[in-house]
Amino acid sequence: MTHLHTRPLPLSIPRMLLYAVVIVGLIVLGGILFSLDPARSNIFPLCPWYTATGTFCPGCGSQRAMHQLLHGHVFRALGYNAMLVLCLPLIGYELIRPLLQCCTKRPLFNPFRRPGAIWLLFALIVAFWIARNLPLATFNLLAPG
Amino acid sequence: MYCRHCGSSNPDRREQCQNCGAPLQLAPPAQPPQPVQPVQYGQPAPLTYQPQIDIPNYLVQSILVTLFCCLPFGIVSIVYAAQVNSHVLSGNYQAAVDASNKAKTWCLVSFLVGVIPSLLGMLVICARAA
Repeated sequence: MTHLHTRPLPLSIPRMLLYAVVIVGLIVLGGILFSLDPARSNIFPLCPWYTATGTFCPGCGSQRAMHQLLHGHVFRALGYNAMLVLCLPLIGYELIRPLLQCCTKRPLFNPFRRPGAIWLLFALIVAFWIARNLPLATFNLLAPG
Repeated sequence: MYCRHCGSSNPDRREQCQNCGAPLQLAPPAQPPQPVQPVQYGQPAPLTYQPQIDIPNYLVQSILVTLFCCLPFGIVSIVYAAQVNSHVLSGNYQAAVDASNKAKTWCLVSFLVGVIPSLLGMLVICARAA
């Protein structure tokens, strides 16, 4: 049998490289976002959707929210993009889950493999997108700023 | 033949997956019988299920491009992510792999369309300032 010597690594080498690039990129971006406030600085890119349509997309306010989060201001971050702040714990868990599984050697709970959960998330994001553009005072809380 | 590890399609004669390098086997290697342990109260039940083929649904990437790349293409990707797992549940692995590939494509499109102009814009602004 030839597969005696081809026992798969927990993470393939391209995957490890990808992780390395992503981690370095995140550190660089985090440094820029920490030191400069996107609400005041003009080096940050404007949202192409907002530029084109004048309405907010689900991601509008993410950069300002990240700046506030990096300074520990969770409530101000919620004011810029509530959906992002609420999704971050889930995203963080999903990103470190493969690494955790290497340690535990068994599959860990994966919250978003059920279609129902994904459709729920989809509905939440679309509802958030619509709501933050409605000209009502209540929904203005969801708009960035 | 589909890889049991990443779900990608491979020619039948290959021994290793083209995508992830995992060995392609028709059946999992036989495991020695494990001694049956008495289940005690207060302890978690032993893990009895075998994980099914894990086809990536790119959901995390979809959420990230939706919330960071400022283009609603990521929404399309989330729809395909949901379809991946619907197809896996119904046992239709070919359709699941197709949906997985589409989710990946839409993530990439959203990422590239959102990020490259942004980076170029930042470079132009920095060049002007310098």
